[in-house]
Amino acid sequence: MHSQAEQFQLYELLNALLDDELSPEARAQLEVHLCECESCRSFFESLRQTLELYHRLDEHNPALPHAVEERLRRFIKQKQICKS
Amino acid sequence: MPLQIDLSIYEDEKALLEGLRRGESDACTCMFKHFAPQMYAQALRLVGDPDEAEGVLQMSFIRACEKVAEFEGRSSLATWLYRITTNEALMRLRKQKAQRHSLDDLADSLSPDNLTYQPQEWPENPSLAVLDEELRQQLEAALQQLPESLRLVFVLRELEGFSTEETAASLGIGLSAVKVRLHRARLRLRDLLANYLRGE
Repeated sequence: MHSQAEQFQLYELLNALLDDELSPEARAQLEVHLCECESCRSFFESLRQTLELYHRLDEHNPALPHAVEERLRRFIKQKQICKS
Repeated sequence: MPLQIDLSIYEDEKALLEGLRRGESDACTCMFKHFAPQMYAQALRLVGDPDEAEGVLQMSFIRACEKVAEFEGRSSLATWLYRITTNEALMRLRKQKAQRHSLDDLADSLSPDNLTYQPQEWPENPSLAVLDEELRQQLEAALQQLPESLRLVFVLRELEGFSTEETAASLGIGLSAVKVRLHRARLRLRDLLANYLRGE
């Protein structure tokens, strides 16, 4: 069980690991800790999964709400954005 | 009626760009159909309000058409349009911010002792393989639950691929503030998602 101060330090390190900002030595040290500490390992995995989901958010083009689409069409026409 | 994306009028992006430069209505329609949904989604994530996002979308189209002659094609048309949208959204937020009291400084001054580090329990085997519509909506809703100062940093860094330096410059904050806000946003989103995945 980590103290709150340790948790904060570990959280900063886990973020640095996600962002590939650790030196090779620090990375190796943290990876050893992750192998040994189940709570840190599962927390890191959940954080990684969260980001992975967000990175996949735009895999499918979202739909433009119909009303927004119609108003944008009218706007483009009114403003004569397209000349021809 | 759902939009049918049809780029067949133009052979490729270069041809579409030429059409836009000539002010052809087909090119404009093509750009509209192809890019408006993503531009709107992006604007909504940044400004957090559907009416504001619509305003951003409309102004972004005007800016794009004004500047299309200057576009040199060093990035893809999509990247260029999304950057215009981001800039327009941030400009709108800056105008709003000037009119209200900001809590951003307070958000960055919290010490580590004040960081809430009590992550919600994560389900053992979350079914994340299929990113279905419901989960997408949950992800967007969680984003909107973040305070603006955290949401902007997360969207720029994680979703739009800005570097820490670009994010800091775009938001007018320091590099350390970007990191603090990003880390907080990640933790908050993870906890919000944990609640959803556990069915709460």
